[in-house]
Amino acid sequence: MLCSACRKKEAAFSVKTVVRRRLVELKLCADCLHRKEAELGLEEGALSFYAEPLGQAVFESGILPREPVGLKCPSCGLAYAEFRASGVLGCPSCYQAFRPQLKYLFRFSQGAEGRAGRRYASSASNTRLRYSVMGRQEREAEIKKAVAAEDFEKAALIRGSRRRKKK
Amino acid sequence: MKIKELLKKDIPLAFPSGRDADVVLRSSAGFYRNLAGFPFPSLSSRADRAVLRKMLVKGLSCVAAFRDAGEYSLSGAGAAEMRFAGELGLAMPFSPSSLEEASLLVPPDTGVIAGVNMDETLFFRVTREGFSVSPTLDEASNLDDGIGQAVDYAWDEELGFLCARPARAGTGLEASCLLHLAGLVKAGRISTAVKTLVNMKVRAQPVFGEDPELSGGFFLISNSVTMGISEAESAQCLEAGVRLLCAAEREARLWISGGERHPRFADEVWRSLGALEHARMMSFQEAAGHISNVRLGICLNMGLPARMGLLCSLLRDVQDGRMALSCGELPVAERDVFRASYIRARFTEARHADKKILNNGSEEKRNG
Repeated sequence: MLCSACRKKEAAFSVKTVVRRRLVELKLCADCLHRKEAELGLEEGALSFYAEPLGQAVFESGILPREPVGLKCPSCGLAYAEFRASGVLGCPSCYQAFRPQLKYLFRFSQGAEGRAGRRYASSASNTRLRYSVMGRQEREAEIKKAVAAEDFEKAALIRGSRRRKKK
Repeated sequence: MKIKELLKKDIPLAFPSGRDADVVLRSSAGFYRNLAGFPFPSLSSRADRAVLRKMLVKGLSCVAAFRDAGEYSLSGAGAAEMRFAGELGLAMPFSPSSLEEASLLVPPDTGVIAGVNMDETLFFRVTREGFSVSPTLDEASNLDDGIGQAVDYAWDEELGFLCARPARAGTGLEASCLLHLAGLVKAGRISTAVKTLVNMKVRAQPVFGEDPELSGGFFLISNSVTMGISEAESAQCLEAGVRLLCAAEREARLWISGGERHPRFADEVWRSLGALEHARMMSFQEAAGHISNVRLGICLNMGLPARMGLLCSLLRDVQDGRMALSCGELPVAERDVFRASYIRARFTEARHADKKILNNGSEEKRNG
């Protein structure tokens, strides 16, 4: 289906609007949608949030990130489709695995793609705390793993947390 | 300790005093946090949750506010306990199996509360009286800094604090005010007032049931955006929204109680007081509606023989979850009978206390 405004490109979105007191459905391509946003004095992308996507053309327009098939978080194994169904992410790495999709979600639901406000910097004491609450066997396994990976600093940190606990 | 023990603690839902206390019952600010290197509660194993709980209890004890906090376990919690935790304003874990290592931490200052392994790994909140969003946020931010030094938060340089629900990611802030907007509800202006908040990055939700007309017009006004906005900006937006609603509510109160409408309004208020003092059966929604009417009467100086403090504590104590915990799981009708008798008893107790104060005062006058 061609765009009802330019009649050149494939229509990607369906937008319902009121023209002279009548409800009119416009089938627009991405460029004409942006033009419409500019005409209405809206921010870029504001209208596409309310517009209904029309088949595959919407992904080709580049406005909407392509619906990923079989995308999974490598850390917790949560599939993107599962997240879409529940609205709940599995682990901090999910934010890395689904970043483009989540950024799209943030842009349209919260009006921004990135954080603002206070920064956070972790300290070494919290890593020590993490190992100090582990059981002895778990801690020994972590030390072995760190030594195998030649991360002697981490091994020392874990050992240090054990000594601290003994005291 | 079991969560039932929390009934003995005076965890506030509303305060009788404070700035703009005629409309704003309390201000809260809290943060949702998860820890780096651990899955979020929805996917974490029991072993993970056990480690997280130990770490967080230890981490929270590093902060002065939580040093002497009591830990209340949600393990084996039933429907009543879950409802009670919900009434405390805490979101519950995603599945009942996740309750195993979930717990609440309540220090002696009951205005501060933390939930561990709930729907996010950590949620803590500071609640203070009246309209005090910025000071409450400062207090919560100080707590956040202290806890963040002890444990390692899940953080992304671009996206901020990472949460299981992406709608909380960014600042992870939940700032809110509990407002009594019965005047706007009675005047039929509530939907217009709420619509004005849409562009202010603030949302309003009725608290005790979907229909605010039936449940007293209590609304929770909270920040709706956590990404691309700082904590201080969120607080400013909330303050602006609440200020707007306070002005509209006061105007509506004058309108509903003025001129020809006064006799009908006064009748409604006094009837509500009568119902609270003498009814034999009462659902929570009905109780909230009557408490709201009496509160409105007190705010408009109608000379009602009731105290604001009593109404605030009743609003918390007669909720379904709390009732179910204190009297056991009863059929709805029996619970309503128990609720009505509890309210009557509290009013009688308050009247006796008032009489005692009056008698002591007159004796002192005679002696003096």
